[in-house]
Amino acid sequence: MSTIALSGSDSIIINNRIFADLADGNVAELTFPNDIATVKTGKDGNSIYGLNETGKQSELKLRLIRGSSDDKFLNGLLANQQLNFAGTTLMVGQFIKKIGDGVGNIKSDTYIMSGGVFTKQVEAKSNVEGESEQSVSIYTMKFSNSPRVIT
Amino acid sequence: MIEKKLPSGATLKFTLAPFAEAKALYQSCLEELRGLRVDPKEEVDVNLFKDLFCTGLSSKKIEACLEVCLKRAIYNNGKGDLKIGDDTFEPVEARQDYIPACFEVAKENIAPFVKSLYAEYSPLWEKIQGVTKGPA
Repeated sequence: MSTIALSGSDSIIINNRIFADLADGNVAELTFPNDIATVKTGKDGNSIYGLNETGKQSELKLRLIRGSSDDKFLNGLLANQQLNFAGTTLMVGQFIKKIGDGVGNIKSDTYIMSGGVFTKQVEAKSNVEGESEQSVSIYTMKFSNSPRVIT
Repeated sequence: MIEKKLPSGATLKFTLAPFAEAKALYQSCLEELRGLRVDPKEEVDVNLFKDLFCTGLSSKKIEACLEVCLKRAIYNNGKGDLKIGDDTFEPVEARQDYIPACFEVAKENIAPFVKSLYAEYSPLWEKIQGVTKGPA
């Protein structure tokens, strides 16, 4: 029997705020840019393994409706970080994926993120050909740890 | 984030809606409850509560505004924190949580608007009561 996963209605929570003003496309993208371990194979197939702690880091990209309530909320946090970096309270969050098995059973696949900071400013553009991208604010943040839990 | 326990044992977590969405809910409640008759001469009786519940729960306007506010709510019945959607209250055992969940979200979103009103209008309320009771 094949395994089925139906996905939808995912939730994004940052600093205890449930986000609802998400834009289009990949509204939230959580990536792990670094490997969690390295392997080097040398003479006679001897291999060396090394744990890479930076592999725990995750990067979250959020696409929000420009000027929305959630955009204002994150912009406030970003402004605080810029104003007093040493005094910044690190962000925490959850990325929850709702998964169905095709027979009505629901599971949640949760990434619990902690130790987050913004790593980029929000870019802007003005386009005269009706490009919708100009109405989207893209936030990029990095978290030091993002373990995954399936319940 | 506000967290409430629901009758089935599930947990409701939600954040307050933005000003415009909460105001729309507040206004829709006022609009629907405008027809409610409260007689200051009469004691608050069971009929007032009946009217209050029937008007509030049957209103499509309030329901539409509540749906917007419920987008910032999460329901957890042991299967993780899941966003409230069309299918959340589909299981029969979850349906008992629907009205309490709506009530909690409405209450918390409306409360900030009316917090100052009691202090502001209590002298007026006393005046009205004085007029209806007549001179002592």
